[in-house]
Amino acid sequence: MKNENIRNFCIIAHIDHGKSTLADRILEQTGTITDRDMQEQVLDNMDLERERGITIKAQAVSLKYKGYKLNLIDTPGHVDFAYEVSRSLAACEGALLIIDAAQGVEAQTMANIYLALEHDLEIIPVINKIDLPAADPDRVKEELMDLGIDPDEALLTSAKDGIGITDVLDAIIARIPAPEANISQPLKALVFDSIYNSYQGVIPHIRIVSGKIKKGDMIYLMASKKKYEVDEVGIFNPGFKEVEELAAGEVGYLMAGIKDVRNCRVGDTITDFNNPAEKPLPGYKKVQPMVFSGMYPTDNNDYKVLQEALEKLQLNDAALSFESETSEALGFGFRCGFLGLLHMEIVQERLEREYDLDLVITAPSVIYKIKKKSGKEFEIENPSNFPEQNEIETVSEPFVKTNISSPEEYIGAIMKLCEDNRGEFVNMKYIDENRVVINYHMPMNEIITDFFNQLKSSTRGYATLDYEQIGYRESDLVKLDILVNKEPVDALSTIVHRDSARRLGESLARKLKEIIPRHMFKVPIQAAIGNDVVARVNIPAQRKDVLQKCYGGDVSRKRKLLEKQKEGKKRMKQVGSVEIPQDAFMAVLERNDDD
Amino acid sequence: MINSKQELLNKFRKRGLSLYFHLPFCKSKCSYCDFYSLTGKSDLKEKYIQALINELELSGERFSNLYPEPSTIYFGGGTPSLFSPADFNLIIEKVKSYFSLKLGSEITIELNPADIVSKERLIEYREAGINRFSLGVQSLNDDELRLLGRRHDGNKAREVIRYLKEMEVNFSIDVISSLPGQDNSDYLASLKELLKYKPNHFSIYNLQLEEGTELFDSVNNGKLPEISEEVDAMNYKMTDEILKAVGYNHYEISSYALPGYQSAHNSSYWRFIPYLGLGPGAHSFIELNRVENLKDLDSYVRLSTKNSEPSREVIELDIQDLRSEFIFLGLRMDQGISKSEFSELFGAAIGSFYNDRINKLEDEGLIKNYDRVIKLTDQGKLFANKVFLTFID
Repeated sequence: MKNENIRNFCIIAHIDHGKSTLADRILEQTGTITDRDMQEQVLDNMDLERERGITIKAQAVSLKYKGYKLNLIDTPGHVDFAYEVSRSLAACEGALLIIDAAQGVEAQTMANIYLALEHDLEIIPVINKIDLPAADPDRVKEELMDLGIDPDEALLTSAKDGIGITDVLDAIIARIPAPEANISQPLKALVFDSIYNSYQGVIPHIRIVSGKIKKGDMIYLMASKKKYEVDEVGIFNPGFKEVEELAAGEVGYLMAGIKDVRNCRVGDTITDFNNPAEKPLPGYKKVQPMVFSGMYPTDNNDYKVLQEALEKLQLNDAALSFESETSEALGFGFRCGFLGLLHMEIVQERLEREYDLDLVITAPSVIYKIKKKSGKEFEIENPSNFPEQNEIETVSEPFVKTNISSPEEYIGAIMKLCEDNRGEFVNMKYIDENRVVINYHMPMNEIITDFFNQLKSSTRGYATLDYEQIGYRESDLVKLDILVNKEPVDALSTIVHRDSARRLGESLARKLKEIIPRHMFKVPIQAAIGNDVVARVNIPAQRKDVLQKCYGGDVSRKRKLLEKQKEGKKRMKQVGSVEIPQDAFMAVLERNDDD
Repeated sequence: MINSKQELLNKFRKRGLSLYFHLPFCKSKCSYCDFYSLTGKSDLKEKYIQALINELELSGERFSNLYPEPSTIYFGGGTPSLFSPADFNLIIEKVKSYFSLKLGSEITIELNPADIVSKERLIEYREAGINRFSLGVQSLNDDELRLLGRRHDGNKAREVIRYLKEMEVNFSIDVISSLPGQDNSDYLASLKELLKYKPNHFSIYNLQLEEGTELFDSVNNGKLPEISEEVDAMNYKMTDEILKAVGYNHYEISSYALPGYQSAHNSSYWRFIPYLGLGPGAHSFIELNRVENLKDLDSYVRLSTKNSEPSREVIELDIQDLRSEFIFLGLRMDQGISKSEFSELFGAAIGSFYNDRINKLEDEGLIKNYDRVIKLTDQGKLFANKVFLTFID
């Protein structure tokens, strides 16, 4: 039996193809949001999401249209959040695939199609932005055909101008299958997201796959093995709206006084404690941070504030991990784990904005697997824990398979970039007569160190990047240490391939020379592998620093000047007798050697 | 017990007063100058003196009870030497009608050598009541003078210096060091020749490239080379050595004087003495506030005809600001800051506020903490900004 009046769908798109704008128009058209003082892109709540034009957290909303209840699940739009996307997709029967009429199919569009097919979703292709002068829907249709999608099924829209929105709504009803309504079976509800609120705790967003759920039920989370009593169930309207019960096929939320987000992770299955399902829903995975970096308050007194801030962010973000660590250079801070670089930037920005913290962040690192000659095996996520070279038997690092799509004229530049970053060519395929998708196997460490920026700049912004993990491989890796004024600065250490150590050491030393201000004494900067110095530059001593003239009219001006300088000094870390600006710790990331 | 702001104000009022008159008129703008001054306004000069007198009357009424005895008067610019001796006499007499001015109080005028056509002119200034002459020589090298946009050449400056010598008056010479492209020897050539005239006082500062000036733009867009810090540091050290060797005291970061000839007026800025600045763009430090008269000559003249005060920006300083200013201004002087004076003003020992900072700076070799005073070391003078910065909160 089916729940004929319900359709569950998501919107998938390459970044900037108009996903959130289309979602907004659908909300308006269905009267879900009546007031026109709604903010642009309702579903992207956080300032950060609006500014960056990406969705970070999944969101859901129930719409009413022609007697149907349409549940829209907005998915995060970044490779860092691939797992969350997969769970959102698993909560749906169909997907709107948005393609920019001018840009055409991109790497992420293809990744989205494969993902949707994997979850057996009905795909409705939507060619958006047909209002653009450069729009070429026919070309996009051809591209779709090459990907095995029937181009005649594609709808043409301009979300910006509100064109074609009813066609989209009608297609959702006509083409997306109604969900199964297995009400009589034991409860199975998929957690596809959650939010934290200080009154109700963790509020999971759920898709009921079978059975039903109502207030007072005892529930059991099958992966985290926790039991709760339901306080409230409801739907997204788009705010919370309590309902009597949620039954198979429906999308909504529940409140059960869940205090820790780690007890209610995305992908977990909620069942009835007294009448449990035999097996959980497939696909649950405990997401593991992939990228690690140290976060240190510039002012050591802010350590507690930082700790509390991280704890609060973690309530809403099960993928964020942190534990305290101490750096000789930076003092007390935390080693934080993230899904990827974007996730890291988001956390950093939220800490600085919402908690008013000044942070020094060390260059991100992946997890290395190390086998010592003694036979001992362990993992490190902080380069400063890299053992002495002579104790090491092997080092392995995570590799990824990249999907880079680009106009064909940049093939050469992309291949060079990938090869410079230790990439191994796998495959290249034309999407249409002048665009290609290139696959390389690359160390993930190279991807998280400036690769994306370099890719953008060497393809004038046309290339797009997507990647997936493919496991660990042995590599000839060494730890590159940086000594400032003869003192090793642990927070500047990185792990690099032996062959590029000298080049990277030289480039980093040169960059630090630009970033670290001159002192009253000469400051040598050295890059070293063990005791072997591979690069050295000197920051010459400053000779004089005095405002010579200071008469009656100069006092206020000098004071302002001094105050400004003082403000700048606050953002520096004193390491030994040398003051190192925040930027220095990220310089490790930038690997363009064009200076 | 820390002194309240009111207690501090009562003490502040007993520190004396200096008077500064700004004369923002120039025949041409020097390429390095960012002081408030206008060219092509000479028709306003007469009205301007009236306006100054007007502000002086209003200030006299307001402040002469609280600050009865000014110890110095300074006419700065702009170009005061564009005004006639009678104008200065008028102002000095007006000062005397409100304040009690001691005999022999230092009264200085800034001179541009270009304006001094004869010794007679200088004698008239002296007769008008001026007893100290500050001559803007800047350099004796004609190429450098052109670069600076001065209206005179080296010979003109030499001539005026000779007049001043012949008159046996107290005079000071301004020199600018470390110009773009300048070598140590270029600067030292000027300095050594000027030394032959043995002026009582030198004000020597390195060129500051101030935004909005012609020189700033020329260096910024590459028409002129960057100023070499190496050369500048060397100039500074050599100036100190040379002038000290012939008997000058290096009594403030940029100031040198033969014994007994320190500038009382300039010292008042560093010694935390109240001052009143009159004229548009002039600054005051009065009632513990830093005050700037609006930089608008036309409205200044207009308001004065209505007997109104000029428009001002007033910055109120809190006690913490005042403490840090006392320190960073005081440390500019060779005598340093007196610990007892600090305690007397602020009601607690300097160490009780700044002990850690003082120790750190002493460890770095930038200051010396004596029993009674704190002074910059020689290294500290070169890196005075680092010291001053430490006392900003």
